[in-house]
Amino acid sequence: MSRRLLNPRTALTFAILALIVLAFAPPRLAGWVGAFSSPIRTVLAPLSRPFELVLGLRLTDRELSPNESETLSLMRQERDGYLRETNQLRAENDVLRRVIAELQQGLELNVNIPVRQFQAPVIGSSMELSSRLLTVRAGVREGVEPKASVAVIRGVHLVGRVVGEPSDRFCSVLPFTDRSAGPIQGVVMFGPTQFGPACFLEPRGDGSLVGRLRTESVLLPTGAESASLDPAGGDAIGGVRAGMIVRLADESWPQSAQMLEIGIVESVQLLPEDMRIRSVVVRPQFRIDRVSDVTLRVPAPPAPPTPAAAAAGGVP
Amino acid sequence: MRWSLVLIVAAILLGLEQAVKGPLAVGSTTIAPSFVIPLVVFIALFAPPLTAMWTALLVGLVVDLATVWSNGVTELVVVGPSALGYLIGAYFVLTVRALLYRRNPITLMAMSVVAAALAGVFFVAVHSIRMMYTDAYSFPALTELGHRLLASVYTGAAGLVMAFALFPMMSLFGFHDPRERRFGARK
Repeated sequence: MSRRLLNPRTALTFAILALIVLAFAPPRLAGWVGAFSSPIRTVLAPLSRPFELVLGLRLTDRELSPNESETLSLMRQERDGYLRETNQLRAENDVLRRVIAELQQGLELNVNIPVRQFQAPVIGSSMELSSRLLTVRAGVREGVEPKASVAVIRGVHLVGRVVGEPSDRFCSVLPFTDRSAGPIQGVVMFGPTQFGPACFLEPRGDGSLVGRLRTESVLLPTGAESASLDPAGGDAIGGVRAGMIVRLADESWPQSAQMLEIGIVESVQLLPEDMRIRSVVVRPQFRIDRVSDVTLRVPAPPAPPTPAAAAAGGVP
Repeated sequence: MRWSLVLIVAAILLGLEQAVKGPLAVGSTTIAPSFVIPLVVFIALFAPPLTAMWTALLVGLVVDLATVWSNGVTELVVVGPSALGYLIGAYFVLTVRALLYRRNPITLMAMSVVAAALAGVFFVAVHSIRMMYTDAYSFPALTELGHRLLASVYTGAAGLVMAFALFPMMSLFGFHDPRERRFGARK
């Protein structure tokens, strides 16, 4: 009997039956299979790396900033960082005013969430192109938290956010351009620090996003408001042009990720059913599914209170 | 068949596939060649049936385990679609191999196209059925089906190139040359 059970033909039949059951099992029943995925990806990463290096398939830092001297590239990166900070500070300034008003009514809000940034290599992508998940070599040990951690390139260009449960050494980043990532809200920038109209973007699956421009002024998660009028005093959505930058303004994303760059407006289209409604096609500046390194922005542990603050707080 | 060599070649091809599939894709579509399907077909052309089917199943299982799906919040691994799809492809080759000129590179190319198409159709069918009761990830079935059928042609091109590397290694794999039986001293 045991010999018959160990027969390769019988074993193959059992394996096929087990795979049929697992292929159709709902996620809550087949979730344990994921435990075998991490070792397989760990083994495959060093096998694919040599090919990537030899064939030059991943976009390195140098390729992300072509025809630029290192100094110019650094300066540009610094400028982008300052612009993002300025926008966020401006928005925070607005929100602080609002917080003061709310605190006076007995409400408490904490908007200043500290983040820690570090560089981490992308060690692999999904074997099937239907899923564009990136495997990044940084995990719980580095403080990566699901949902609260986001990945960027060149400081301000959004890549995606950490999904699932990161392991000790690895985590998975779902690019925001992946169809599975779902819709994302952003705000078109009329100028470096001037908000335009908000937009609701859906990934198209080809690396770009498409969505409608909001005609009304919207309260952004950072506390600022999107524009309903363009700088010339006209309709705001009429002022949107190709080449304008779109920044993240979505409540479902961590507060620390707001105002990161989603991409640039590729085209503005009028909807035939209603000429007042316009949709935009937005494309990230880089092929984010082919980057070799990302900067992870993870929540930083709260700083210990200074002696002065502790004294002010009082000790019971 | 020498399992050790099959494992080494499969590991190299899996690494190659993971590295180059994205960059070789047509635009931002999923139309990209597979390098492991020609290997599965090559083994199905020459190895004993049971060995060929186990190889297809195991290679497909690795592909399934290396593919992580997400809905933006959770991760999910689905085992079965590629493993069973490759098995169907290998089974088809086993069924028709007696009618083929097995040592011809064109045969490997043509069979790679058919096996990849069969595996692709099964893959899309499984995920389409899953979409009826789960929203753990997004899967546009019709687009995927079109892309996978076109990708099978691309896989055929990869199979043709790989034939020139795999056929000279046939003796190393420990396969019996199909011509041996015809001219050998078999009684």
